[in-house]
Amino acid sequence: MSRGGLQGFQADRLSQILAVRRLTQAQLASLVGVSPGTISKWKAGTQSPELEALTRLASVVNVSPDWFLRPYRPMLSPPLFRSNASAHVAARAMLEGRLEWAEEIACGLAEFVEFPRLILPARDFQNPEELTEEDIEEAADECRKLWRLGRGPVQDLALAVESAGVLLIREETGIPQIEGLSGWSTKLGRPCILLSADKDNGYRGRFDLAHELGHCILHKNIGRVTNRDRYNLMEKQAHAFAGAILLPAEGISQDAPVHPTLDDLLILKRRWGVSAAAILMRLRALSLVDNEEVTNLYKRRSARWGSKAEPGDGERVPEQPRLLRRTVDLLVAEGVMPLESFPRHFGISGNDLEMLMALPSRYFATLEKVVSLTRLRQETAQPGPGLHQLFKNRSADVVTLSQPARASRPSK
Amino acid sequence: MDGEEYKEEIAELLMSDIPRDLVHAINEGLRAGARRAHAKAKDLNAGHRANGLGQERHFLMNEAFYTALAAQNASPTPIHGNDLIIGHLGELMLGRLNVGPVWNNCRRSTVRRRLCSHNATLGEWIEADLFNDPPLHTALVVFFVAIFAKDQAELPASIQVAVPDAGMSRWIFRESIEKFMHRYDGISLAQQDLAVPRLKLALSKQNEGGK
Repeated sequence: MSRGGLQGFQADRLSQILAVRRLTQAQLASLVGVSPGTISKWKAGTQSPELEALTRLASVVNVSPDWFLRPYRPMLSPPLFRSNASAHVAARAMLEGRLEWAEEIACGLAEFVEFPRLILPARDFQNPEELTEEDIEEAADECRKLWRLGRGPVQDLALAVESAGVLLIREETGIPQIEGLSGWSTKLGRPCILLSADKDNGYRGRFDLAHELGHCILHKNIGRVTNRDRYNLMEKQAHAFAGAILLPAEGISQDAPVHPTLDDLLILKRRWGVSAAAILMRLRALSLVDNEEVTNLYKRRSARWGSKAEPGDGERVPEQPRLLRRTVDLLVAEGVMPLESFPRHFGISGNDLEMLMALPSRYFATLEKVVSLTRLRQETAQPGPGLHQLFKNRSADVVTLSQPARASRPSK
Repeated sequence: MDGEEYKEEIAELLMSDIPRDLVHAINEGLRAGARRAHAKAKDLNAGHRANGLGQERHFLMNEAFYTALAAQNASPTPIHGNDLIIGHLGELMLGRLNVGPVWNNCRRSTVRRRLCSHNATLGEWIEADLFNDPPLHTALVVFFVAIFAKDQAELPASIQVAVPDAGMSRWIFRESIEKFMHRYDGISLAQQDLAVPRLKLALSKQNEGGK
């Protein structure tokens, strides 16, 4: 039971916002003008802030004060991350928080709308060791059949995924090392996928999405994995699924020449919308090229293109989500919810909503409660580190905090 | 009717009757037959190697074609002497022939010419108007044509799916087998956009009532 302060303050909300804004307790304390110990007590739930402190806290982290009083009921299964080993724990927590926000927004919208019917192959694997290569191929094949994708290249995977009722979020996260994460919403009964838009590579984006989709289908009933080998196995399985759904055996084996050259792979890349490296891995998985040939191609790839980029990486525009954006448009057009009420309804800033719902930048700009940086600093008892530094991983927030309010809503 | 328009209609017609696997099997079989023929004829005396190769191709590609049809339940006519092998899928008949770079020997076979007369209805439909639907349950003859270069190569330069007119004087549909196989992959089909939210029924009714 918390002592003093406002009744109903949700300590878990504070933990979540610290993660989402990537602030330490000390940094937040400095911005709010309280001691780090106070933040610690709020976070532990042993003490709640007074109204004035709560208002300051909310304005600093760019949410509405009542957001901290809303019941915190995470409805998302522990998400699976696609990341490399260098990814930071705090970065993962931030992304997990963003995905929880997106899920909470979708739950809020689901009170007014029906999202597309969920159409996914049902699998009930309890541990990754159960899965065979055939299981993965079958799941990908079934998915293609359910979605009527044929055996050729998928034109727009994001559209296919959203048409099948999956919630998709794509935003700049500031953490390019983590390409995506996904989890199942227990309330909505559908998967949520968050993709990083930082690399701005249409080919990789499609593969990342297919990878997360693989997790959602194959690993739905497998809890959070801490064992490194198991994690690697699941990553490998999601990779195999991505290859199988983007490059179905019947289609790619017909297209791929015997003894392909790097330039053959580039032609296939344009046609199938998958990087040459991923195509090569798929050809190896299908035994269409042997290991020696793969090694030779990799060597030539490094010699010609280096190890990271490939020719034509910028040619394909990254696929964009549309379902949540369309939901906003529908609710506004039907007069169910006025545009200006969205940030208030969800309790988070318009800028956050824009990013999570794939809305144009400054869509809600006129409605923001803008806090002047100068005023914030003056009001802070002990000026802490500069906001630019504190928010360096969320540059969009800096823009919001330093821009003056506009008189009218910008045209769409 | 516009050329491209009826070509698409004929392709749809063929795809509705010929399973994808059969097209793959025929493609594979004809290539395997050509390879076997080449292996058999390559040691012949140069003076009659081309003739020997042509004959071996005829027999061995016929055998491979027969196997492909039989394996896919396309009821092929039995292998007998120089007879054509004809597969049957309902009203659809499938034959094969080999040609050189110039398609000038197609009409040489009387049986083949007679067979092509089944395409009369299709010809009439093309000559008529585009407002009529293509004939669905009518006899139709399609050939898998292996085109060989003059250099006694191991494999055909191309295999084409070809539908002749009733007199076998022109080809009303011709397409490489690879391109035809791609049609089954649905590449040209536009992806459906179902990523659309719907207002909940109660809200819709409420809105309608308010208007």
